[in-house]
Parts: sequence; C-alpha cells; structure tokens
Amino acid sequence: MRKYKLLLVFALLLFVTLSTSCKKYLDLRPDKRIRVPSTVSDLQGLLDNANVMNKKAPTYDVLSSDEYFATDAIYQSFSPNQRNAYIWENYTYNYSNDWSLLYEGVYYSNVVLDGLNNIERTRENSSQWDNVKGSALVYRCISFLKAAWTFSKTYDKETAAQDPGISLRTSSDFNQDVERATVADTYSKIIGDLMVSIPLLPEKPVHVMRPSRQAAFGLLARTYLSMRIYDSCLKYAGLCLSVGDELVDYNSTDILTIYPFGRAVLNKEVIMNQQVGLNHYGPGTTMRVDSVLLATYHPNDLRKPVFFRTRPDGYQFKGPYSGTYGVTFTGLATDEMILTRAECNARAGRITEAMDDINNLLRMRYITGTFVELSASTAAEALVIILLERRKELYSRGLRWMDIKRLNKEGAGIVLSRTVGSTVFTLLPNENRYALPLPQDIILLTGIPQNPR
Amino acid sequence: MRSSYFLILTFFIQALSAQQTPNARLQGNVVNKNGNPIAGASISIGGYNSVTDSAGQFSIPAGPRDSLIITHSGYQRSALLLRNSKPITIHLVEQVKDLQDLTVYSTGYQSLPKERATGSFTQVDNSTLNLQVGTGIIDRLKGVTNGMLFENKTDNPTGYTIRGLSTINGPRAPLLVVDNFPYEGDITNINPNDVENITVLKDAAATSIWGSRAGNGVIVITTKRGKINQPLKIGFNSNILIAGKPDLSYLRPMSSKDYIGVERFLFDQGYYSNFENNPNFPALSPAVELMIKERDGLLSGAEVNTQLETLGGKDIRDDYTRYVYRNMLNQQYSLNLRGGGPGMSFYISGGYDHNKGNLENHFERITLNMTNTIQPVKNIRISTGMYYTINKTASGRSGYGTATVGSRPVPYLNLADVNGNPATLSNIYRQGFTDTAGGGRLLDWNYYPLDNWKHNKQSSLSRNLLANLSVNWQLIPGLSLDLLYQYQSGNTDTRNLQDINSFETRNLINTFSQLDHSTGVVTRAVPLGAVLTKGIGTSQIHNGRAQLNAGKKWGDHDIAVMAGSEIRHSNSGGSSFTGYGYNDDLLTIGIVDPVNPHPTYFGNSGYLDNSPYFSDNSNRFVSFYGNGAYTFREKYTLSGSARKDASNLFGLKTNDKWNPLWSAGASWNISGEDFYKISLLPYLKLRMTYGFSGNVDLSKSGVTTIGFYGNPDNQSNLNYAMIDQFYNPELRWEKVNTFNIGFDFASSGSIISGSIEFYKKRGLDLFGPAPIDYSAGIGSNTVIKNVADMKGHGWDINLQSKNLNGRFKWYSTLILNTNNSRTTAYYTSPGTTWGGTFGESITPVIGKPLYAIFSNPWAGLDPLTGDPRGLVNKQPSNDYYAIINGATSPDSLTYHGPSTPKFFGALGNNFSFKGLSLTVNITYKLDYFFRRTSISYSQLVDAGIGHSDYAERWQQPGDEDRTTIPSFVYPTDYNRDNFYALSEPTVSNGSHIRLQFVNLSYDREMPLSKGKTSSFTFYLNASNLGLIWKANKHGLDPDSPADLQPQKTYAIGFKASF
Repeated sequence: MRKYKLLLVFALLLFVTLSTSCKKYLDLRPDKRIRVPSTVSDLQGLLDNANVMNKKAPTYDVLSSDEYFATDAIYQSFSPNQRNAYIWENYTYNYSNDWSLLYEGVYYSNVVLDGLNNIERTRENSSQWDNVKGSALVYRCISFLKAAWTFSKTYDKETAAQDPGISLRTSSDFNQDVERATVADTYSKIIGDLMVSIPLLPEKPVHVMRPSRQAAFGLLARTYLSMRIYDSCLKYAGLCLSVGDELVDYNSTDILTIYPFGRAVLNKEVIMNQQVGLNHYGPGTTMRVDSVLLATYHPNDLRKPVFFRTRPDGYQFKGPYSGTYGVTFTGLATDEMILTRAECNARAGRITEAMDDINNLLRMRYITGTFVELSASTAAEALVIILLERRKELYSRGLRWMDIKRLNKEGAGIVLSRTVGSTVFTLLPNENRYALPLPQDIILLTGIPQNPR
Repeated sequence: MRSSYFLILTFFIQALSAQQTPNARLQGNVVNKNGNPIAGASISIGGYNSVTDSAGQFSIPAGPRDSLIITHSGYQRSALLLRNSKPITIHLVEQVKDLQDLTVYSTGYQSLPKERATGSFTQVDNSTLNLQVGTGIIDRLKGVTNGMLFENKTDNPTGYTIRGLSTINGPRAPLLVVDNFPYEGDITNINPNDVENITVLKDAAATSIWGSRAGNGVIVITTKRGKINQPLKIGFNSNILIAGKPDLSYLRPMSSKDYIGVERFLFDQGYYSNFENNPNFPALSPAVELMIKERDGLLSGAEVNTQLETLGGKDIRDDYTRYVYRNMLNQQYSLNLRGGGPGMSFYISGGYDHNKGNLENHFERITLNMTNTIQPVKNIRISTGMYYTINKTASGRSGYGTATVGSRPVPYLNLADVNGNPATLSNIYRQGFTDTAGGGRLLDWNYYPLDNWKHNKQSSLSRNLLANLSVNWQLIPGLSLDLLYQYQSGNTDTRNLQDINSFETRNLINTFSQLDHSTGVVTRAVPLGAVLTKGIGTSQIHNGRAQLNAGKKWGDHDIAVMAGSEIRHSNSGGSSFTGYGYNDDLLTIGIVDPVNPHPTYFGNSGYLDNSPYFSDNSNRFVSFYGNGAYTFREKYTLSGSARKDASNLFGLKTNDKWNPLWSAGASWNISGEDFYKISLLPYLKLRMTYGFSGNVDLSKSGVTTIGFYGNPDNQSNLNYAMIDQFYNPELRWEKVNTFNIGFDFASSGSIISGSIEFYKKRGLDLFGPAPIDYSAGIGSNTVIKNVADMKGHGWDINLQSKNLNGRFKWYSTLILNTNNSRTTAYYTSPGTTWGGTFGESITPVIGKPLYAIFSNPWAGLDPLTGDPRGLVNKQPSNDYYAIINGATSPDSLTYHGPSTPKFFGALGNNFSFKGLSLTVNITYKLDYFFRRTSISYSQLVDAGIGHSDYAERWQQPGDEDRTTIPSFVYPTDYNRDNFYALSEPTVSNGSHIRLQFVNLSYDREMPLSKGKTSSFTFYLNASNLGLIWKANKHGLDPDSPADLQPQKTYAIGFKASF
C-alpha cells in the first residue's frame, strides 16, 4: 500500500509541475528572428524595409508614357505584358504586376497602423509612436496616389464623384472585400491622411528613406497639382521648400561617370527616396530616350550628360537620382517642388516669381557662367518655358504620365504614338485608355469594374 | 583494407574445400519434447544434407568432431558437435505457433505482440532488410514494404509515401522514429547494419500514438540490442558496391546538328545582335561566334561551314562520359559484439562506409554504437545507449549540364581539346572579351570546365550523437514505470573554398576591378585570394518521457493499459560567413567594404556582403497520451488510444495549441471460436480501427508575425523587418478520419499466409491555397484556407506462400497495394481558368484523384502551318488565348487518370537449396499516367534548352499525319508552347514492371562448441536492374521521364558471425 501512495504522490507531482510550467514552457519563440510585433520599434522595422516601402515603385506608367521608346529589337525582347503595355492594350495581365507591387506597401502600412492600436502611446514612446503612425500614413498615400494616377481617370471635379478610383484598403485583414472608391473619395482620402500625418512627423527625417513633414508637404503639392487645384498646390510646394530648398550645382558633379552624384548616394535635393524595384523591368536600361526631347537640351546644359549615356542604338538613362544605374527615381526632390511652385505661380499670373524659380534652378544646371537668364512677357509664355523645363528636369521620375493626363485636360493636346515594325499605334488626348486597365484576375475574382477601353 | 578482404575470401574458400572424406555414417532420430518422431527435419553437415523420414530417422555421413545442424520450420534450430559416431536422438524444441509467434511490433512506446494488435502494421525483419545493400536504411524498404510507395513528386521531397496522402497541402513526410523517439536530422546517420527491424505504422493507431506529426504514417526503426544471458556473439559484415558510369544516352537533348541549325536561323533573324550590343559581353556559343566571323568577313563561308560541320558531329555527352564520369565504388564494413550475462547485456558496434561517387565525390561515415542494459536489482532495469556518427562529404567533378554558354546547355561544347587537355569555355562572357579584357592586367577570365572543380570545393563534416538513458521500474507485479531520456546533438560544418584559380573567384575579383587605362593600375574591391564560405549548424534535442504500464490477467480477462507524458525541446542554430582574400595556407584573410556599393568592370555596381548570418530556432512540445487494450478469452480485443499535443507555435492561443487525437479498435480471433471448422485456414483473425486526427500547419497562424533581417539596409543603415506570416483568422484545423479493417490468416503449415486490409481516409477542411484579391497586399495572390475535402481508400494485400518446401525451397511474397484518392470539395474562385496538368502537384478538381493528369483537348496539328490546335466552341483553333480563357471548367479538359499508380507492389521469389539462396524482387506500378517533356520553342530560343523531339517536328504539309510535334515558329509564342506542353499527345501510360533487385547468398553454419555456432554468408546483389515491361512506347522510365535513370548497382559482400 505504501508503494501505491508513493506512486500517487509521484504522479500528482508530475502532473502539477507539468501543467503549471507548461504555459511558460510553450511561450518560447520558435525562431529568434521572428516575433509578434509588440513594440513601436518592431513596427518601425517594417517601415524601414526599403525593399517594400521605398523600392517597389511601378513602371507600367513609365512604359506607357512618351519618355522612352523601344527599337524593334527591344520590343522583341519584351514580355507579352510589356509589349501590350507599350501599345496601351494590356487588358489581359495577371499576378504579379504593378497593382500587386503598390498594394504590398499598403499592406505593410496597414499592419503597422493596426499594430499601433495594440500599443499604448506613452510619454516615453510618443515621438517614435507618432513618427511610425505618420510614416505609415505617408507610405500608404504614396501607393494610393500612384495607383490613382495610373489606374484612374484624371481628376476632374465635374466627374470625380462618379469616376471609378482605386481600392482604398485600410485594414490588414485580407478577407475583407474592398470595392473601387470614386476618384473623388480616393483623392480626399489621400489628402485627409496626409493632413493627419503632418503634425505627427518630424520636419526632417533620420534618413531620406523615411517620410518627414517636408515629404508630406511635397506629396500634398503633387496631389493638388494632379487635381489641377493650383492654389493649394502652391501653398504646399512653398511649405515643402520652406523646410529646405537646396539644389545641387551640376558643375560639381562627376558628370561623365555613370554615377554623377556618387554610387548609391542620394543627393541633397532628395526629400524622400522612392524608386523602381531593382528586379522590376526597368525601362532605364532596356529602352532608349525619346530623341525629340533630347534635341531640346542646350549644349551648355549639363543635364544631358548627367542624365544620359550614349549607346550604339540611342541614349540610355542613367537614373542618377536613385544612385543605382538605370533605376528610375520616383521620390520627392527639391527641383520638382521648385518647378511645381513655378508652374502654379505662372498659372496665377505671377510671372516674376515663376521665372525667378526657373532661373535659379537652371543656373545650377548649366556650365558655370554660360547660363543666360530666361524671361517671359506673358504668363502663357512663362508656362511654356516652365513645362518644357519640367520635362527636361524631371525625366523618368514617374511623373510624366500624370503630367500628360492633367495637361491634356488643360488642353495641351499631347498625342502619343508608337511605331512597331510598320504598325503605328496612337493614343489621343483624354482617351479612356489613359486609365490603364486593372489586372484581369482581380476583375474576375472580385467583380470590380474594369476600366473601359 | 583490400588485403584483409582478400584474406577473408581465402579463408572462406578454404572453409568450403575443407570437407573431409566421411569414413562413417551417423544414424539418428529426431523427436519432439513428447518423444514423438519429427518427419521432414533437415540435417546438414558440411556439404551433406539429409531429411528425416516419417519415423523421424536419418542417416548421414559424419564422424567425431563434425558439427550437425538440424532445422525444421516448426521447431527451433539446433546445432551440436559430434563426440562419437554412435546413433543419437535429437530433441527439438517446438517454436511458438507460426504467425502468433515472435512477431512483436514496436510502436516506439511499447512492444505490441501481434496477436493483440488491432491496427495496421508492416514489419520488415532483419533478413529482409539484408536482402539489399547500401548506405541508407530507408532504401532497403523498397520492394519489400507493404503499403509504401516510392516515387518522385515535386511536392514530396522525401520520395516515399505510406498509403497515399491524407492532407493536400500539409506536411507529407512520414515520421521517422529510431527506437523510442523521433529522429531529427539525416537518417543516413544510422548504419543499416545496426538495425534489427523496421515497423511501419499505417493507420489511425499511428497518429493516436505519435500525434499529428504522424499523419502520413510512422516508420519505427529498432536497433540491435544484446540479450540477458546470451553468449558473446561477434558479427562482421563487409561489402563492396559498384556502379558504372551513368547512362547519358537515356537523356534526350537536341542533336548538335539541329541545334546549330536553330542558331543559324536565329542569327539570320538578327537575334544575337542584342547580345553583341550588350555592354556586359554575354557569352555566345562557338557556332554563333563562327557565324559572326563569317558575317564580318574574318572567315570564309566554306571555312565556317567545315567548322560547323565538325561541331555538328559532336555530342558533349561523349566528353562527359569520357573525361568526367568515373565508376562508382562504395565500401562498407561493420563489426559488432553482443552478449549478456546474468543481469546485464550489451551491444557494441562500429561501422565504416566510404562511397566514391561517379563524379569522384566522396562520402565517409563512421558509426560507433554502444548499448548496455543492467539489472541491478530484480525489479529495475537500466539501459544506456550512445550512437555516434561522423559524416564527411566532399564535392567532386562538375557533372553533365554544368558546362553551359550563358547558361544555355549547348550540346556540342568541347570539354577537352584534341589531346585531351582541359578546354576553355566562354560560359558567361564572350571569348573576345575574356581574351582581351584589361589587356592582361586582370586575372584570367576563362572557364575550364574540366578543371574548375579542383578549385571550387565543397565539403562538410557532421557529427551526430544520440545518447539515451532509460529506466524500467517494476513497481509491483503488473505495474511498471518507464522513465526515458534522450539527447540528440548534431553539429555540421560546411565549407566552400573557391580558390584564386576557380572561375567563380577570378570572375568576382575581375568584376569588381577598375582599370585605369592611362596608368594601367588595377584597383580591386575584392582582395586577391580565395573566397571561403563557412557555415556551422548545430542542433540539440532533449526528449523526456514518463510512462506507467499496467497489465493484469485474471480468468478470461486480460487488460493492458499505459499512460504517459512526454516533453520535447529541440533547438537548431546556425551561423555562416563569407571571407574574401583568404589564404588557406596562412589562414589570413582580406577585407572588403560591405557598406558601400562597388563599381563593376561593366559599369554597374554591386555590394559585397561578408557579414555573418545567425539563426536560432526552437520547438517545444508537451504531450499526454494513453492507450489500453482489453482481451476476453484471448479471442476478443478492444483497444483505444488517445493523445494530446501542445507546442510553442506562434499565434495559437493556449487552447488551440492542444491537439487531440484518438483511435479505437477491435479484433476477433475467429479461428479460436468453437464453431470455426475451416481446416484449410487454421488461423483467421479480423481486426479494425477507426480514428480521428487533426492537423494544424506549423507555418500558418492566427497572428501577424515579423522577422528581422540579419543585416541593415545598405542605404539607410537601419535594421529592418519583413512580414513573416500574416493574420489569417479564418483558418481552422484540418480533420482526418481513418478506418482500417483487416484479416490475418494462415493455412495449415503456413503454406499460404498473409493479410488483407482495406482502409478509408476522409479529410475535411484541408488547407489549400485560395485565390484572394491581392489588393490585400500580402505579397501573394493566394492564401492558405480550409478549401478542400478528400476521400481515399485502398487495399494492402500481403501473401506469402511456400510453393516448395522440401530440400529445394521456393517461397514467394506478393505485395499488392491499391490507392485511390479523390478530391471531394475544393473551393475555386469564379473566373478560374483550367489547363492541363503535370500531375506533380495536387489537382483541385472535384471527383478526381488528388494527383491527376488533365490535358488541353487536342485537335491535331494545323495541316497548313503545323500549329498545335485546341478547341474553341468545339472547333479546331490556334487562338491560344481563347483556348486558355475559354476553359472555365475542368469539364473542358481531357482527363487521363491519376499520376500516382492505382496498383503497386512487389513480387519476391526466394529459391533456396542447402545454403544457397536466390531472391528475385520485382516491383510494379500500374494504371497511371505521366507527362513527357517535349520541345518548347520559347525555351529553345530564350534559354537554349532543346529536346530531341525537335527532329520529329512538323515541317511541311502532310507531316501532321506522322507527328504531333508542332512546327518551329519565330518569334516564339509562349502560349502556344504551353498549350502543347500540356496537351493530350504528351501524356503516356506510366504502367511498368521493374526488376528491383536480385540477391544471391550462400550460408554456411558450423558449430563452434556446445550451443554456439558460427555462420558465414557470402552474398551478391544487383539492384535497379531496369524495366522488364513498360506501357509507354517512348523508351521512357516513368519514374524518371526527364532525368537519369537510377543506376544499376552490383554488390559483393561477406558476413560472418561467431
């Protein structure tokens, strides 16, 4: 009987020790690198993933606009989707694509924003907490804005409340169905979120990979420009430049090298870095630069040698602002803001302010001592100068597609055309096809409306 | 070692010839314990044999000091040494009745006598395991294991399944158990010579014992042990296994002549001008270089044609066979000692394996094994065991497929020049570039396909220790406590040394070199020297178990219960780093700048990463389990088993961490009933089990987790994280029900015996990828959801017959397995389009097998263009876009059948006469389909991958009557190629019969002294002998339709035990 008792005690002891220590024992993380995000630093870590947040800008719009052309041999080497995008007929593409790239950044932002709901904002973590929240909002706005420019019609206040916009995903739960919002709702969401982010962000960031208040101002200026609301655009371009308006004197750059600003260096004009993914089909190295545009650079204009490099079959884009050869920079920089401010001033009839900005910019671009100041007698004349300089300065910065769309709305009448073999393809101003088609598999799966051909 | 081998052989031959001339005949009789005569017992002495007559009497030439061996199937073998020539009476001890005899299934938790088992087990005994020769133990289950299918499927890397699948996207590998605990790590660490037997657990009883990790079956490997009071026994086994060079002619690349023809065509189309203009100087094949020379006027057309003619007659496979491949030679030696005295037993063994592969790659294994059992007091038994393995591998030559031009497998390359000296090859850059780059100031930029392996060596050294301690304490009669602890520790060092003469290192250094053309100064970002990559992997596993066993027998009742708990912690860690400018002689190393990008020679830039990498993973499990069996009158058994597991998986709430599994079973010994009168089948038993298990995939969970990268971002220098798993709140457990019913039977004298089993599996809420609106942004267009249900059933039939049982014996074993599975529900999104399948992954078509082959319907080749045609609105069409998008339901495809065999198994025949024994094993797989590879013109143009089918392509109208291979079009059309690759004509019937192995052995036993015998076995084995019959007409082995066939191997070996 003693033996039974002993055994009973032993069994009880075993059971008690096992069950009480069990919970703790099983709480060990299976992989030390992996954790459930529980601190603000964890969430910041996600936002610092530059490969997702900064280096995943799409190129579908670049392929469709008029900055590059493809020789027949280059066209031959394109994938079917690239070919169709080049001739504005891409209605049949599936995963993975520009749409999926854009929404990966949205998902990270949403995970961070949802994660913040579970982390208390305390006195100790407040500045980091605010920065994370503001940054996540800015990143999400960058994706939304690019998606709206690419996949929706140009903002037009007459029709914006009906025109289909994009999916405004604001939750990390992928089981949620999200419809296409209207263009009006899309832009108001972007503006609203950027407004929320402004007080949360530091004026200047730790590194230009991260968003800042200056970047939020710049994005607002971009947003309003694409909506053709020029007074608000002027306001935010001005606020952006008030934080910093430094320009690089191109005479100081090593213009002949393939890295005019240095390898992997983001020059001091950069407000926030965004660039096309390295593994994404980059038109920079594969395609050639539009020769009509090339002819407009003055021989003393250093931008031509800084931006381009000759190849046997034409000019190749170096992608200097991204610091990576041939890679398109789509982030914010002071030169863009100066040009934006100048355009808004010109449209408002303030010719002097507009031309001052242009001359200050170009002085830094020409060989020292050779630049002759430009002048304009009318606002319209000033606008022509500014828009041409905008094309020449902001070459392959992911803005041209938006520019063509909004300028055609202003009556610029830009007609795009492609020649492949002996076939000529044209895209007339304000055509439906300016809202590029959504991926076919998304349309089939969700039933959201496709953009009309 | 070779000389000692010779010695043993000599000894063996002498032993054979040393038969004395008999001078007397020995008379005797053989009786059982009751003194009744035993007829048919065989008596052997030296080379002489005799059989007892109906009176149990025999007569055999023998004299004093001869040794006599008496065997009979119903009795234990007896051996004795003759002292004189007087007639003798030999008493044989009866063996426990056949089939209810010694078979004990080891489940890893208990030893279950066969008569009490209700579940489905297959046991492979030691002599069956020894029929095959080789380094790995699992390979020896081929052709001899009921219910086990060996096959290659891309989504099951283990290469074998037990009774098909019960999950669609969950883990597929059966659980491997060595003795009492799951074995983590490489199972080749276990020397097959140390294995006593293997038990395969196939039904719900397996999962309810081993938990959800056992959903695909369990393979329990039981190692050899000593026995208490067993005299010392020494065993020795050695063998040599050889194989010739691999048969490259089985592969079907495009002929060199055709290949050059295509290159000529593309050249004329200007295809290569993009390459010529590329600033990275991508390599061009020798034929294209010749065409460029001809175009540029550097060579005459006639000269080029002659050279092309020569290239067209080359086949790189000849060079590989001649210069690269060698014969394979594996050597295996093992020695063991076992024995026991009162209160103790031991088993000690050592093994050494050295395998030299076809590419002069090496594998070496040393195993040391020691187990001891002591019984210090009557009711306590303590066992300790240590199993230590050292594995070494070293890489060898570069095999077929490694010499390429710009990763194009050009079929006419030269590996050696006319004198057999290593040739140079422009594999990445054009010869013109490598010859002149840097004007001699850079390192040699050539690739030497025959020599490079000497300078790029991978090796690994791993040490693995398995140590265990177990205590069995008999508390009171009928109640015992087992305490077990096992520690497994593994340590693997991997090393890749690419010295300065390797192409890889020279290329890296040159790529990151800058040459100042005015001064001739070379600036190198990578220091001169070797590149060394070293990795260290460690693992530690602790297992603990406490288990109470109770058993009581009273009257007609017999009850056996056990319950226990288990705890398991496994941790694996690793680190690796790359060093540049390494000097293996002085152990000095250079430094590189990992922070800044470096310019390349071609005007791009890149990073040099040499930061170390660390990993640290841990898994913890806690389990409670119990099982019990109640037997009434030794005829009716009821059994039940249940288990609960918990683990430290992420995102599972503690409640969900617990995974309950159970099974219940019953058996009925029908032949034990009084009414049972069938004398043909004196033994008949019915048994059945039913069980439930669940499965939660370790990698899918209910919270979002993130993982930090080891290195900071290059540009911002900030550490950053990625999302590892995403919040997936709708995921539920997979549920699997399994039912098994079986009969065991034996005829009188076990002339025919075996088992017939039928099983059913039903899986519900199985995981699978479901398409989602990827605007969700999770980085995938599918997520894992509970999308599918499946059903499966099959038969496992095992028949053993003794066709001839006299002096000449002929025994047969037939294994017949069937397996049918089908998807019963699968969620697919609207708008899904369907296309042909390769049958390599799960097919989500309701009512069809899990692995099925579907094809795009075929309407023949277009008689005018040779385009492959499908159907659009039932009309032949070559609008591939419409064909693909029109297939909105699987009904629009052609269904061929499953891609896993419906019937499979093996037939073994054993013939023996005296000590000579011949086993011939045939395996078969019937009633299934496989997809052949054929020419893909996109692949041909874009990647340079050809196929011999090209020669048979459509070339002119009329060809459509003789071929189904489409015409060559340029520019190529990916959709057209894809349509053809998955269309009806590329499917073949996979049924085949294979000669798996033949084993010939000669046994000889000699008594040493009273009760002790020594035995010698000399054996020959040939394996993978090829197909005997196949249904397809394309000369393909359906088990390796696109790769090399398994090599025929031949082994010779010698075994002795004293």
